[in-house]
Formats: sequence, C-alpha cells, structure tokens
Amino acid sequence: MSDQSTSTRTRRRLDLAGGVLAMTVGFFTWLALLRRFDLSYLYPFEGIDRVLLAVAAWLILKEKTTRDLWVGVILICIGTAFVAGS
Amino acid sequence: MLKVTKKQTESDSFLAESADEIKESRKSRFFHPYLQLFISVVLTAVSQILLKIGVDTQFVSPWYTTSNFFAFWIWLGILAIIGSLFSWLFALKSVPLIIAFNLAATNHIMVAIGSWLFLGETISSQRWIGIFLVALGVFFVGRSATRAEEKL
Repeated sequence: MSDQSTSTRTRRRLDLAGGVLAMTVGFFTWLALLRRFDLSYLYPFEGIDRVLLAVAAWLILKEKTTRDLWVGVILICIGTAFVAGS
Repeated sequence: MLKVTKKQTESDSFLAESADEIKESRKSRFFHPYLQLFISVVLTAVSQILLKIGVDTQFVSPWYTTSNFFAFWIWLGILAIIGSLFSWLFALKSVPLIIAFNLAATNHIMVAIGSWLFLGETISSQRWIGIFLVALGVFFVGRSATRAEEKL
C-alpha cells in the first residue's frame, strides 16, 4: 500500500466516487420504479444487470466467455420477457 | 489452480479459527460464514419489501419533499441493504464462490415469496415461470463466473 503512486491512488478514489454516484442514482431510480410497479413484477428485471455485465465483459473488456454464461443470459432474457408479459 | 488451493487453505485456517472461537463464546456462532450467507440472502429480500412498503405508504412526490428524508420504512430498507452487503462480504471470505453465487440466485425466489406473503401481491403462473427462469439464468451466470475465477 505504501509504495503506491499518488496518481494510482487518485484514480482509485475517482473510480470509487463514480461507483458510489452510480449506485445512488440507481437507488433513486429503483425507488421511483417501485412506486409504479409491484415488487414481484419489478424485481426479476434486476437480473438484466447480469446480461449487461456479460455483454460489457465480452465487447468492451474482451474477456473470454463460457457456454454457461450465454445459457444464463438467454434464460434471464426469456424469463424477463415472461414477467414483462404477465 | 494454484489460487484455488491457496484459497482453500485460507478458508480452512479461518474455519479452524472460528471453531476455537465458538468454544470460547456463543457470540461467534453468529459469525459462522454459512449463517452470514443465509442472513445476507434473507436481508436482501427483506430490504426490497421494506422499500416497497416505504414508497407505498410514506413517499410523496416530488422527491425533495422534506418528509421523504425521514421516511422510516425506507431508512430501515437502506439499513437492511447495508447489513446484507456486509454479511455477504463476510461470508465470501470463507464460503466457496460456487455455493455463494448459487445461493444468490435464490434471491429472486425469496423476493417473489416475500412480496406474495407480506405485500399481498398476486403472482400469476406466467410470472412465476418467468421468475424461475430468471433465477435459473442467474444460477448459470454465477456458475460461469466461478469457472472463470478458478481458471485465473
């Protein structure tokens, strides 16, 4: 920790601040959505964050993906479509 | 593979440590990693239900109304979220990722059961099917994440 350069530390703090800011915005958006929809209707949509993460990891970070990941992504998409239509 | 064996020895030593502690005091039983994992999953569901109760009974628009900042149920929900995060992090110190991630998939089912029992929401069979598919999908994504972790 002590041999860390100052720029790395600043970068990390900025990353952390950005993360906290994004989570705060997400939280208030979630509250606004909760006012309008049933919890059992809304909560399955949270599974979409995995889909977005998978696609981001694949496209932006160029990570190697497994078959299980895409099976999961497709299942989440189908499930969310079912919930959306209910 | 090297990392996995290192992790296992770490968790073994942690378990041995906690086993000694359990003999010493009853309080440490509360910090058993699997109990913490269970608490984390339950608290996540509880927090969502508390937030839903909060926005339904106490929240008024516009959002900057002063009374919103003192909404009791919403603060309880935020506390539950913080609690679930800490117990999750604590559990991850020693519970294998594959078990932790698989249990996280039950979140979706817990929230559905909670909103049916405590919020009185009617959940159609189509919605149940959707919820189970999403939970299964989260399970598969978690499984692939563990595999990726093991390969590192």
